[in-house]
Amino acid sequence: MNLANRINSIPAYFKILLGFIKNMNLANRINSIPAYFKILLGFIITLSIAFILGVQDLYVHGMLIGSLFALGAIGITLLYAIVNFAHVAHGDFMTLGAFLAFPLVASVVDVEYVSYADDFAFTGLFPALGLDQVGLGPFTFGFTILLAIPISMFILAIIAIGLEKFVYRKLRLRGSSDVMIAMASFGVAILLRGAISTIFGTQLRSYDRISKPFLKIGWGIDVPPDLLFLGIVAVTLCLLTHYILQYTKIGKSMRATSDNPDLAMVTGININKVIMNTWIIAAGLAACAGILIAVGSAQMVPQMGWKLLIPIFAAVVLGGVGNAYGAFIGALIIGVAMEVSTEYMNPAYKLGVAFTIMLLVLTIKPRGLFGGKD
Amino acid sequence: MNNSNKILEVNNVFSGYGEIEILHGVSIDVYENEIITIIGPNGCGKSTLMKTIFGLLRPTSGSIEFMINNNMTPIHNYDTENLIKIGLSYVPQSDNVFPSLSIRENLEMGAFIKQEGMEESIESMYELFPILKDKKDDPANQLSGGQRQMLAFARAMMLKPKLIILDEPSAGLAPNLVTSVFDTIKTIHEAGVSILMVEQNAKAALERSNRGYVLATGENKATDTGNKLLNNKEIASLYLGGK
Amino acid sequence: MDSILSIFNYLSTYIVIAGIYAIFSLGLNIHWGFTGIFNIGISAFFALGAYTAAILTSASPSPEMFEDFIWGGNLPESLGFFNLGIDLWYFVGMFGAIIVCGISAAIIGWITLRLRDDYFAIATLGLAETVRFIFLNEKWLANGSRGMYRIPKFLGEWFPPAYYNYFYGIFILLLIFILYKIVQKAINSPWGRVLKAIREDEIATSASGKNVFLFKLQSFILGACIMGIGGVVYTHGIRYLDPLTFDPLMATFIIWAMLMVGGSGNNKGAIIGAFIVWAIWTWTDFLPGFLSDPNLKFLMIGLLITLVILFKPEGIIGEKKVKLSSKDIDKELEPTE
Repeated sequence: MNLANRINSIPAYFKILLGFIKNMNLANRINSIPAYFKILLGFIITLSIAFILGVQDLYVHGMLIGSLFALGAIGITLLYAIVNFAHVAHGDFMTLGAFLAFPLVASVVDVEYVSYADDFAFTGLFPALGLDQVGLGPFTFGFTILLAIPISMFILAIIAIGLEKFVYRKLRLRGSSDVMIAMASFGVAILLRGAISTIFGTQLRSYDRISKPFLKIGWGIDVPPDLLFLGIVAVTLCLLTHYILQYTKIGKSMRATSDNPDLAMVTGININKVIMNTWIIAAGLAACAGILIAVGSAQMVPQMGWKLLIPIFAAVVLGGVGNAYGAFIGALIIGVAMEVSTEYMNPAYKLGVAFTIMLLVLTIKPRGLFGGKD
Repeated sequence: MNNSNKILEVNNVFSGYGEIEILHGVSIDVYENEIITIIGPNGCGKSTLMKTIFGLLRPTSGSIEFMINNNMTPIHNYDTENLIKIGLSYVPQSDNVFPSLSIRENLEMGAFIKQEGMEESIESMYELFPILKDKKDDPANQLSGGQRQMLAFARAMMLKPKLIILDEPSAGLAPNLVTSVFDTIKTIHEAGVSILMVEQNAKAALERSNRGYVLATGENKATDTGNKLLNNKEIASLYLGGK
Repeated sequence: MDSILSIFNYLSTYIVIAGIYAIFSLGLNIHWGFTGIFNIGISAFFALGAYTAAILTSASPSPEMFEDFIWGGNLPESLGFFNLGIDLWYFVGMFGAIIVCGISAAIIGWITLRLRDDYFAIATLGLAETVRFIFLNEKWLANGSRGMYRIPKFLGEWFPPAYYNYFYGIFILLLIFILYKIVQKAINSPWGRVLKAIREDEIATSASGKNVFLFKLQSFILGACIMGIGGVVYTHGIRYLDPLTFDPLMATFIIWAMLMVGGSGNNKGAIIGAFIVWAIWTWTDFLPGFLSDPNLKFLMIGLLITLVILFKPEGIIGEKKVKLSSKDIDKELEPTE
C-alpha cells in the first residue's frame, strides 16, 4: 500500500490538531501541576459530587473523622520512614492513650483488676482536684480532657521510649529483620491490650459527658460540635508536626535519615536520637488520636485500637508509605470513603471499605498516591 | 616535594568486614594542601580504606593519626561526630545527597553538628558554586549528576574541614561529566582543603594529584607523584588500562 | 472411680482443643517458621474453614429454631446414597473448606505477597476482620450473631456422647500425625528448602533464579489450607460457631504464642507449643482470684511472644541451623529431621 498517499489523504486540519495535542504535552502538564493544587481540585470535585448525591453531611463527617485517623497514620508513616518497620502496636498505643486519660478525667474510675476482691473505685485526678466540669460550651466534654491530652501524650511517649530501648533497639542491634521487629511490635500490641483490659476490664466505657445538640451548619450539614472541635485539634497537631518536620533541626534530621540513613550517619547525625524523636512524636500523636477518637465516638473499649489499625494503615498505604503528607490526605480520603459508604451499604462494613481501598491501592499503585518508600 | 605539615598518617592498618580481612597493612600520609589519589584494581580495598579512615570500620591493628592543634593524635577510636569536629569530612561513592531535602537543607545537614557560622558557610558555598544558589529551594533529586556531586562536595565543605575523603567521585557519571567533577575537586582544593580520594578513573585523577598510591590485594604496591605514576610503564599496564 | 473418670474426661477435652490448636500452629509454621511470611489473620482461615464445613454439613435451617440462614448443604443426608458405613461427608466438607481457604489465600496473596512483608501482614489482618464482619452481618449466610448450631458430629452414631471426646481426641492426634508427616515431607523437599532460603535471604534466592513470589504464594496457600482443616476439626468438635469464636485473641494471638513458644521453624515445636500454651491457658483457671482473670492471660500471651522474640527466638525446640558452608543457597539449611 502506498503509505505516503494515505498520510497525504489525512485532512490538514486533523494534522494540525494532532500537532497541537502533541505540543500540549498533556502528560507532562498534568505532572507539572503542583500537588497542593491537585489536592485542592480533588477536594472541590469530590465535595461537589457529594452535594449532587446528597451525602455532603457524611462527607463532612468523614473529613473530620479522617483528620483524627491522620494523627495515627502520620505516626505509623514516620516510623516506617525512619525505623523501617510496620508498627503493629500503633492501634494499641492509641487505645492506651485514651485509657491513660481515663483515670485523670473520669469522676468514677472503677478498676477491674482489684475489684476481684471487692468493688474498688476512686475519683479521677482532676475531679478530685475539683476540676470536674462537663459540657464545656456547646461540647459534651469538659476542659479537663484538654488538660489530659498533653499528660497522656507525655506518658505514652515515655512508654514508647522504654519499648524502643528495651525491645526494638535490642532487636536492631542483633540484626533482626524488619519483619521480626514488626512481629515484636505485634507481641507488644497484645501485651498493651492485655494490660488495659486487665486493669480496666473489657466493658464499654466513656469519659464523663452530657448530650448536646448538633450544630446546624446549613446545606443539610449537621455536625456534633465535639467532632468539629476535635477535627480542629487534630489538624492543629498535624500542622505542628509539619512545622517540626520542615523547620526544626529535629525534623530536618528525621527527613535526612529517612532519605538516606548512611549519609545521615556520615554527616554526624545520631541515628539513635533521630529514632527516639520519631517515637516521641509518633507516640504523642497516637495518644492524642486515641483520646480524640474516644471523645468523638463517646466510647472506648480495649480492642478499639486494633480495629483502627485497618483504616490507619489503609491511609498510610494510600498516601505512600513513609510520606507524612500523603498519610494526612490518605486519612481524610479513607475517613470520607468510610462515612459516605454508610449511605449505600451496611455501616458494619466501614472497615471493609477501608480494607478494599487498601487492597486496590496495593494492586494498582503500590507506592500510593503521593509516592513513598518501596 | 613539600615541606608543609603532615595532617594524616595511616600506619600499617589492617581492617575489614567482620571476620573477612581486606586491608593487610596499608600506610598512607597526607600533607597540608595536597590532593592524593589512591588507585588499584577492583576489590583491592580502596573503599575499605576510606571507610576505615572515617571510622565506619574499625582497624584491627595499626594506627590512624590526624593533626589536632599541631599534634598528631590517634583517631581510630573517634566516632563520626568527633571526626567531623576535628576537621575530617567524607563523601560516599553514590547516594551522597539527601534527595528529598532542598539544596539549602542539604547544606545545612553538612553543618548539623555545629550550627554557628552556618549562614556564612552556606553563602560561601553559593559563591563557590553559583548553580546551587539558583536552585537552593529545589529538592536535590532534581539536580543533574554533576550538580549532585557539586552539592555533595559543598555539603562536605560546610564545616571548613582540613581533609575531605572522596570515595570514587566520578563513579557512575557520564564521561563528559567526569572532567567537570575533577574541576569541582580543583575548586574545593583551591578553597584550602586537602583531598584524599580513591578513583577508578585513574588517569584523570592522577593528572590532577600531587601524589598517588597504588593499592593491590589490600597492600601498598607503589607510591609516587601523580605524573610519575602515570608514566611508570609497569603500573600503567597493570592498573591504568595498558596505556 | 468417678474422679478418675472426670480427670479422663477433662484430659480428652484438653487433647481435643490443644490438638485443634496444634493444627493451626502447624499451618502458621509453614507461613512464619519456614517462609517468613507474617500472617496476623489466622482467624480468617479458621473462620472460612469452620463456616464452610458447617454450612456444607448442617441440616436445612428450621425457622422455629431461630435459624435465619437460607441454605445448609446437609451433606450427611445428601451423601447418604454412598452409605459405606463411614461418614464420607466429613471429608467432603473438609475438602470444601480447603478449597475455600486456598482460593481466598491465593487472592490475598496474589495482591500483597509481591510487596513488603508488612503490607502483607496488614492485609491478613484486614481479611480476618472482614471475614468476621461478613459472617456477623450476613444472617442469610451463617445465622449472624446467633451462630450455627446443630452441626453434625463426625462418626457421631458410632460412639456414645459421653465417650465421644475420647474418640475425637484420638482422631485429632492421628490427623496431626498425618499433617505433620505431610508438612515434614514438603519442608524437606527441594521446594521446602527454597522456602527456607527465601526466609533467610529473599534477594539471594531471587538472584539464584527462583520465582520468590510464586514460592511464597504456594506456601501461603498450603498453610491456609491446613488452617482451614483446623477450622473443620473445630466445627465438628465444638459443634457451635458464632463470630465471637473468631475474636483475634483466641483465633490468632494465642496461636502465635504457641508457635513462638514451641519453636518456629520446627514442626514438632509447633505441635508441642500448642499443647504447652493450652495447658497453661486452661490450668490457670484453677488459680484463685484475679490470677485466673482471662484478661491477665491476654497480657501474658503478649508478654510471652515479646519475651520469646527477645530472649529465646528459637523457642523450646528451635530449628537446627547449620553454619553457612556452601554458597549454594538451596543447601543453606540442612533438613530439620
